[in-house]
Amino acid sequence: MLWRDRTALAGLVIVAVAVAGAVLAPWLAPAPPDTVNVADRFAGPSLSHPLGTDNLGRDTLSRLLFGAQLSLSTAVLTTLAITLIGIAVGLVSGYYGGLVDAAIMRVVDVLLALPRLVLALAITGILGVGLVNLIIAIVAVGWADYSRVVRGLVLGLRERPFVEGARAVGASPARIMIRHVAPNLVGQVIVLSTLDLGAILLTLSGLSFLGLGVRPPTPEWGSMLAEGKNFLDRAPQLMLWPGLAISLVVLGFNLLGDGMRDLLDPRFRDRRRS
Amino acid sequence: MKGYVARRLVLAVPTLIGLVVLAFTLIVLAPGDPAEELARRRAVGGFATEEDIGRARVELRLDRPYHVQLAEWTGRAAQGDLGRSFSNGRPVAAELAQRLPATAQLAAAALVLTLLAAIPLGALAATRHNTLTDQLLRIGALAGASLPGFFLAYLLIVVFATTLHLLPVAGRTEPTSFILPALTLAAGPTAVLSRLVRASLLEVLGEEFIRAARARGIGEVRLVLRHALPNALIPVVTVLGVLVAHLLAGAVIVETIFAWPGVGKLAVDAIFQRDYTMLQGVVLFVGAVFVLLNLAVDLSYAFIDPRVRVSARAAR
Repeated sequence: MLWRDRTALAGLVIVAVAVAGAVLAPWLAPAPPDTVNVADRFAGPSLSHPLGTDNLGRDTLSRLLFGAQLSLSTAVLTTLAITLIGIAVGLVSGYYGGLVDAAIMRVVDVLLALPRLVLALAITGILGVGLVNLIIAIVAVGWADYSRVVRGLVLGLRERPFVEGARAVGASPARIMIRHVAPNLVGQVIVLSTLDLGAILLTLSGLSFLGLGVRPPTPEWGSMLAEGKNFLDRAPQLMLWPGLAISLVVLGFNLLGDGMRDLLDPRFRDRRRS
Repeated sequence: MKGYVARRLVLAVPTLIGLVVLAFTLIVLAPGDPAEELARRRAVGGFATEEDIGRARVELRLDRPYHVQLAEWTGRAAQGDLGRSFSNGRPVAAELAQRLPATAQLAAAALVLTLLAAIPLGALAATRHNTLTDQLLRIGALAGASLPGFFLAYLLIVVFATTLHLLPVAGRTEPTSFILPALTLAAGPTAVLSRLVRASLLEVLGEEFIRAARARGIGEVRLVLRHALPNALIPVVTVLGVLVAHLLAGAVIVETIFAWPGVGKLAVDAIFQRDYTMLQGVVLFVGAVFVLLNLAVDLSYAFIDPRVRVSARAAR
């Protein structure tokens, strides 16, 4: 299973370490993430500051750990929102069919046919810059993929005997969708979400880097990188650490997602072995 | 064939209509009253009278019902009139047209780089299937796909601009200015595409006609280059659309970092200035370019791959 796939396991380990770092940040961090000490700015690695300090003398490791909290939680939250909305819309579209389905799928077509980041940027710009608006924008353009996949799966499930049985004994459509159809989608959707997590983290941190989401001095990896880039000549490590953190965690999500897809889809499993 | 082309053309119409409605409706999301906002920006000292606001409302045509606004906006957009920028009053369409060449140059350079790198790397991985080379390329692709553009950009700047002084840090003033932004932009797509080329080539290499060609004594190099690769590249054409979407999305961040005066930089500036009309224009413009590019890709696919033509005939 997952344990035998070494790459997926590596992904799991990376993600687990990052999550542990975020959860345990208050205990692991050598210093509070926002304690300014200008006398001690741009300090190199030492026992009290394992990764040194930044331009305001704040402890880099502490900011990375506390930054993980926001970077990871926003990525997970955004992906979760996209997934749930996508499932709900896909369920309704696939289960009811007909006009409802046609209308929903046209909207999905349009969303999938457009460069979604550009659309999300425009929504953020009009709603106003900020983390909440940024997440709203990304969710607003991101659910379409899931809806299409879920709808396809529902179309197949709808005619299966256990659904017809539930309908025959008088279960309501909502109950059938939630109790009988949805559980059969879980595996596929989890794979999609895991593969998406890395991309969402990249998008969120990228836009925070531009100053559209989390903004300094709040510790978040994208905004830390944005702060660090101003001291590229003097202290390139300030940009290096958050950059490496983002890259590693995205890699972890990608490895994990790939491994899970291989696990659920025998076609990929065979291809890799061949 | 004609049927396929016609059907694909017809399919693009609802998408374009949806795009127009979406781009126009964005302004509904604006918190507060856009007319008041515009009047306040124009007024001296930021204080707008009722009269100013009324005038701005008429100018923005916000005094009409939604469907009339939409129809008018669409009509004017079709004639190339996207209104005037909220922040500097210049025509949005002119601003976009002025920025387009820079983005087109950057995207084209990145696309060429991607193809030049991804096809040989993918072919190498496929022909060295399950060897150390294949494994290293797999790891390289995974790393490339995980590296954020805004991180890679600064790594490249540190190495090639501030340390080796080989290339300019930013701007679009020197003939070599495009190299670092194009490299940054191409990294992610190269990683993804090289994997696709590898998978596709592996599949083709397992087919009967390859075994037949091999049995005829055709050399391995010729076999791969002349017989297998052209077939393996057909799926690559289909993902060109997705690839361009990646490049356009990436351009937003890359252009901002490298101060590249393209559409992406324009969009980011418009966000900070809350330039509603400019954002509408960017969405409509980039969206339309994207839909048309995808259309072109799909149509060219039919010319390249005879199977599409056949299945199109069968579907009719």
